[in-house]
Amino acid sequence: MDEYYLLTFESTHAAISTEKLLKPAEVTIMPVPRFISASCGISVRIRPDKKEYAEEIFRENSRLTPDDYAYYHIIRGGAAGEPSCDRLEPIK
Amino acid sequence: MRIDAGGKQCPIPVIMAKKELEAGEQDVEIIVDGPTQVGNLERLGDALGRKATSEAFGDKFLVKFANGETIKGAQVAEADTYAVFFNTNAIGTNESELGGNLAKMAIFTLSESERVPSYVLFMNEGVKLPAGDEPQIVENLNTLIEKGTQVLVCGTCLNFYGIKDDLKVGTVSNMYDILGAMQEVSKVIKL
Repeated sequence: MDEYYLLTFESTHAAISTEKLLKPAEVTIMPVPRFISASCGISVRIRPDKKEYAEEIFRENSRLTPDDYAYYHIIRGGAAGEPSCDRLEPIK
Repeated sequence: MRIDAGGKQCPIPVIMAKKELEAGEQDVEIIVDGPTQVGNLERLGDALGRKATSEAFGDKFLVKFANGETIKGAQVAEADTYAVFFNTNAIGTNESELGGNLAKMAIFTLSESERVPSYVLFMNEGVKLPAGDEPQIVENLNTLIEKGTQVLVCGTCLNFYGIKDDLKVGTVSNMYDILGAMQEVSKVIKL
């Protein structure tokens, strides 16, 4: 089973700058999964154990507004087979 | 003779069948999972002058090769094998920050793929990817290696950039092995 949190973005610049900002939380980048649509193809993936830390950095330092990004909780490869994808409230 | 290659991924069924056909074996039949393997075996049959026909076999396929003499020394590409070649540390040259991120995502996507490359090859500035300080790239290349990919890194290039000791994943290699890998697979994708 594969569980993670995912940030998708309206702009590629926002994606790249967020990945840099959240580096201390050991985030990785990946193509936006096919079952989610976003303007920019780069998404930032957050491990469950780094979720709180990543959110804290984002909340205190990011200049993005809720219009600029979307936040998801994703579980893949569970018993049901289909990936589960919940859209979460914006971090700030 | 009948070979059971059910559950075997490309290019294993081709290798199994080729071995028997080249040994001059007659009445060769092989059970495979899907149409991809059937297509590969048909190409093998054509190349070796032992035409292949296929039929459904339960939920699998049975491929039968015609009897006769096997063409010796025929070049058979290991169908559907590929290598990925990085000769820069980014995809494209214009905007290195974007290109670096694209390269990172490409390696991630390859590592998640069900059909991993036979080789990932790094030359020139490309060697900075496995020798760089991106944990994501190192982790994803290790995943590829676990899945059977060989990661070859140009030693001359590591030496040129003075980063030989920084290599975190992959095998230090040379022009012979890297070009040999390119010649072996059926296609090379340059990113």
